[in-house]
Amino acid sequence: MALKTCYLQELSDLFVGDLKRSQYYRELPERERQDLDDQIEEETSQGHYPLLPGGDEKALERLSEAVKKELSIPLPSSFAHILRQVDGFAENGVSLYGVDAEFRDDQFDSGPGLLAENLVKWSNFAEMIQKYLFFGDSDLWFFALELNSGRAVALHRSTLKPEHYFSAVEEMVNDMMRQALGYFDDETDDAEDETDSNSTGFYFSRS
Amino acid sequence: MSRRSQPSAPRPEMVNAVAEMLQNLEQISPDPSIIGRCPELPGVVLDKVLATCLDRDGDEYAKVNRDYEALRVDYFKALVAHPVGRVLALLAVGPDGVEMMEMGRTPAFVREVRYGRGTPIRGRRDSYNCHHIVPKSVRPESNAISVNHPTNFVVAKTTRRGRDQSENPHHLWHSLFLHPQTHNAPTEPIPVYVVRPLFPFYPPITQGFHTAEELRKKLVSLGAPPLPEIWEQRILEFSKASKHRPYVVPKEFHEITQMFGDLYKTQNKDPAVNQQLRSSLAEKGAQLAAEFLPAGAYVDGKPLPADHKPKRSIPVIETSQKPDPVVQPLSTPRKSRSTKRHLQKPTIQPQPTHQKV
Repeated sequence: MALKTCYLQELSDLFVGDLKRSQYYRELPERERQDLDDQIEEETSQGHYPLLPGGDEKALERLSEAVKKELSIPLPSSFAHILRQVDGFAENGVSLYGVDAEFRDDQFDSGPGLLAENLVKWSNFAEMIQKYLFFGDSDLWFFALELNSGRAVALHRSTLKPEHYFSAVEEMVNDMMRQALGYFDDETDDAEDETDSNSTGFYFSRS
Repeated sequence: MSRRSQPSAPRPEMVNAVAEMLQNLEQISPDPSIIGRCPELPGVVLDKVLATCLDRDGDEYAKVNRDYEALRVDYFKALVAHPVGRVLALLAVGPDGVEMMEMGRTPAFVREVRYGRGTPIRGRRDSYNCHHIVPKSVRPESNAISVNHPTNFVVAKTTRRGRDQSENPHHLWHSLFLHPQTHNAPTEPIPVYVVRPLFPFYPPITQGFHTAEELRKKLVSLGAPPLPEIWEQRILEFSKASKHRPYVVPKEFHEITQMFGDLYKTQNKDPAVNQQLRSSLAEKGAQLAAEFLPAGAYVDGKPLPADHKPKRSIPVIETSQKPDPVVQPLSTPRKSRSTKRHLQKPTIQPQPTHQKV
């Protein structure tokens, strides 16, 4: 199962739109604004998703080593695979954790980092230690990997009890992107991804 | 289809519910000094709710969840359509955040963008969540309390900078108050003390204001009218409590994180030590929660003794509700099963009872 490219594209478009409407962008010197526009155009023409980049291999390697050292677990390959495609995002109350800034060459902090978020959650919710590796959160849920079963799961944000298991990490991240984009109905409206139409899905309305 | 392709005005019922939410917040206390009463947690009170902590409750939970998802978009639109709500939003999340809320989106705003040769563009944004004051996993004994009513929402900052959670009060509320009370909670109804901010946004400001004139000047620069006196005073009190700087969660609440790092790095190989670490951390968390919570509050499944005296002074209120159905879930394809359930409007009749410390 792959991540749905239509969601990646839509999120990227959304972030670019937000940027161009932002006070930050409006206040940039004209030359910097032009450079930024050129960069967006170049990334788009190369088939990338501006403002929604994938993680680079060096940074992922550093993250993997740090997770092993600080959490005593290997970074699941499924997580690494996702992070290569989308290195985290935060939108509409939904956060997908990315490679921590300290492991990137430029150390630019662009959102919640996977190692830091797990350290914080393991320290604050002690019963989670070595039981769940957290991959994201939302208004209502923590999204995680259940370490003993390898299953992706949504946990209640306040009780930390499992509410829904996904068939794969990709399905969980696709669902997170759906929620970030505001899709809360059951309709599959992305024809290009019809190959996934047999997925069990997760829109919280299904038991 | 994405909700963003379906622009619409908020429904009158939601507009009314937002007006009621703001009025209820005003009625909690006419005295603006309540804002700074707890220096560690300015602008919040604890609200005592008699409730059952749900373990797994699939059908009910899913139903509540569907209602929430449909209502949130409408709530954001209604909040920034309200004359006072809009001004408070401008102060808390800025014009960019207000624009996003007008589209039904959770507010966020761009802080910085960076890219370089061979390095893709990345953006840094301040982010927010719509937090439930009474958690969705808690079932209040009073049928009048709906977790999906605006009175139960606050837009809370969730910005994170690595291990630094100082700009993430949302996490603090969960880890310091909600989790210790709901973890291992008994199945019978218990008093649950929930964090109730006295503003619809938390923190309510992104900069300090020393005087009313300074605040009014800022509002003029944002093209906004002055706030009613009660809100103006609350904003000024909050600014004073946060020392006229952007609010950050006090460092002392990061102590548990530090304790984890110190212990875990050296002892993480041994499963038995891991278990011990879990116990130590849970105990530490419970101790910290008990510093704020009154006698009778449950922490890790046990009530605090009758002679318990919290070390920290935080105002406690106890809301009482009466049933008065008002806001129904939006009509969407998913909503067909839930429209039978009329969300009930909780009318808060606050009775502030300040802790004796």
